[in-house]
Amino acid sequence: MAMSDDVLTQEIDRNFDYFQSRFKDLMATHSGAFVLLRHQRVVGFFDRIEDAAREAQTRFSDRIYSIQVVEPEPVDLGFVTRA
Amino acid sequence: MPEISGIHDGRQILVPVVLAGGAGQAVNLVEATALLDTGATLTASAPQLADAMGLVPVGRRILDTAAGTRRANACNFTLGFRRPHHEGMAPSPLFLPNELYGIDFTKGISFDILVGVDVLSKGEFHKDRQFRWVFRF
Repeated sequence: MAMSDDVLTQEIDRNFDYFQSRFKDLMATHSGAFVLLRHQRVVGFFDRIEDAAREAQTRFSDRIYSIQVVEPEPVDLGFVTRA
Repeated sequence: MPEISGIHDGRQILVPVVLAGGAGQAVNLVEATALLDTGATLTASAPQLADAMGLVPVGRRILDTAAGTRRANACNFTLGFRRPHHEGMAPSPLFLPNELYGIDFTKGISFDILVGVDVLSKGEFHKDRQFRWVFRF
């Protein structure tokens, strides 16, 4: 069943808000891990993005989920975003 | 260990690459030009490439810009480096062993994707005094 872009965008943003609210704890326990999230809950932690994506596609046929990485932010693209 | 190499033109290192959609998604190969950029912490691709691959965002990253921070879309994809043609044959690309979790950015004038330290730090990157460079991964 197809999902709308709005539903996925909302899911990703809400999960990201939740992820940021827990970021300090996650950095202490799962630094560098990829976190699979659904409906503002942690589903699991993975060493590689492809493992998190594969698990998500297996478990959630509606494709409503997101994946975050537990790494320090913000990221910097150097001159490209400084010009 | 696979490697790519070339001559630095004194300004930038541009290399031909191939991008492919992430695991479980319809795999569409897209040809692009990449800038090897040790000043970028993360690999970033033009949104047009994600569209061409049929990728949808899977997450967000916070990106630092001159105008402040903003949320950027994050996608997973595979990156391969094109090797020079040999006797008219186009060899298959050398793909990185793991998928990337990159973000989108506004396309540059001469390149479609920034290959950042997240990739370069997983291999060995060298440049000598004659401007010859090599990246082994």
